[in-house]
Amino acid sequence: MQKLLAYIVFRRRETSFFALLWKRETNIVCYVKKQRFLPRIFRQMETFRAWFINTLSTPVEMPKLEHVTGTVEYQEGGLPKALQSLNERLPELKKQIRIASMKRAKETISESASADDVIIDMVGTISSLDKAAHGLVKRLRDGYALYDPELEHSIKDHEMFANKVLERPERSKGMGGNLAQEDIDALLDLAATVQSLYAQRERIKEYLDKRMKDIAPNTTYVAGAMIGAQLIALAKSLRRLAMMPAGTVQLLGAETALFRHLRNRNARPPKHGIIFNHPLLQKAPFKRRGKVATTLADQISIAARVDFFKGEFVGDTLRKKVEEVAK
Amino acid sequence: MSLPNTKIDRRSILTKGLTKTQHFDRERRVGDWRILDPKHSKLGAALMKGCQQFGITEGCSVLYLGASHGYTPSYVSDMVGAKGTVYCVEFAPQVARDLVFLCEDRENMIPVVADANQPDTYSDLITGVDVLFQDVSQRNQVEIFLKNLTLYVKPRGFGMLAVKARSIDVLKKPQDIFKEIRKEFESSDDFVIVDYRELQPFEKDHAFFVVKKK
Repeated sequence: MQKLLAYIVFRRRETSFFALLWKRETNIVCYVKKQRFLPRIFRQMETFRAWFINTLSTPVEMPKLEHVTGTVEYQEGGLPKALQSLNERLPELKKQIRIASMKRAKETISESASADDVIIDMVGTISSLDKAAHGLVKRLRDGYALYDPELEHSIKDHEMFANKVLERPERSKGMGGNLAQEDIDALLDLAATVQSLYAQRERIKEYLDKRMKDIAPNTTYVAGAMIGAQLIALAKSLRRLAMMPAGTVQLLGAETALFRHLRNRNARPPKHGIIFNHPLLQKAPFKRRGKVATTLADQISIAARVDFFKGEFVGDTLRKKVEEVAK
Repeated sequence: MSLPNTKIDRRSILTKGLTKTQHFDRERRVGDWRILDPKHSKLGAALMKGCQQFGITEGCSVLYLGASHGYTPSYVSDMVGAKGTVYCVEFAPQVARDLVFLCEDRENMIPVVADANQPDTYSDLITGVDVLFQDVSQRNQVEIFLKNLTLYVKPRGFGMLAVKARSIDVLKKPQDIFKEIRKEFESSDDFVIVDYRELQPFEKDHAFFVVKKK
């Protein structure tokens, strides 16, 4: 009595099927070619893990099955008996297959988690925070203007305004109305929330600065931490950013404009996507922006590749090239 | 051939719930029956557009490519019932997480986190299936469909393909893309087209093909 696993081999583009018995201990594949069993075997395909190979002469790879299927006792009756015994164990085998698939799925998911994903998440968080803070600060200004319009009017910067409100300044004599202490407290509470949103944003930026330097030092040196992180977010991972052509990097974040141009040739093509925010590009005169953008994207692309394949630091030489063009 | 465990009237599609848990926020129930929202499911949209033949029977096995969070797969799992099997292939780990939780609740669903473009990578987890359902937004979605159809679907099995024209080519007219695919399918010796629908108003620029393998 030998322990065996049963397989069905399926010849692509051919109607014939072969039952295949795999001798586990010796790693020898032996198969039986019996056409008359085929319809039955086929009906039982659910029973087995189907193993697909192009031709029988192709060597069958050793499946990773230690943890997947059970074994069948090989008996004198040969194939039919082995199949029968497998068939009896069908429900149990199915359960085992499910457990094994589940395990593998969980392993794949757990392996896929990387620092990239947290960075991408945080880039999204920053823009959500901006949106939330902007909405709330408008409410705060509306409310506080009832109490002290002069102060509200004199401070344009939102964050400074929230900080000032929290210092509880004395009310300037002017258009402001008399408000009950409860009303003012409610406004102060809102100001505290707004202030904490801005503080959180700062903390995330610090985190991005630090992590981007660890993960992608070259990209960070050339593009800056924030733009580098946004590029990774748009590309979905550092790997994909590294694999992208530089021309794509140049237009990441300008998809709307790009497709507008592709649909309608009267619309001019975009010169830059998210890299538009880069200080070197901001400083460049309008006429030279296209050239600077191309060079910048080229160098970022090289930097991302160096980072992904963990090369030496070349950020300074790459950045110098952009600076020369931007002069 | 109508779908098992399913009631369809002019307004809604109901499937007999396999479990009592509510899996999705938008999921609504009428007693034991779960309502399938055609706006969130291309299978549902195809049903509402009058598709009749899907090849899904009670107890059959389905290979579902592009399972995402598992909204439509959960209804397919209702249809095939406890004895059937739904293999849910999804590549993106972010959504596959939800899928795994769903599969833990539903014993006839099996999660496979793999790239549908490389069917060989999951050939040791999946056996021959009766039905292939594909809803992936990839440029080469037709190629992926044909690959999986040849590899995994049994003879006389069915294949369903939800085509998203916008992910094949944004510049071409959707109609032209559908026509090209139709031509390609019609010239094949391996299968015949059973049904074809366009999915407006439920999905924009989408078409639904049902093919039967010879």
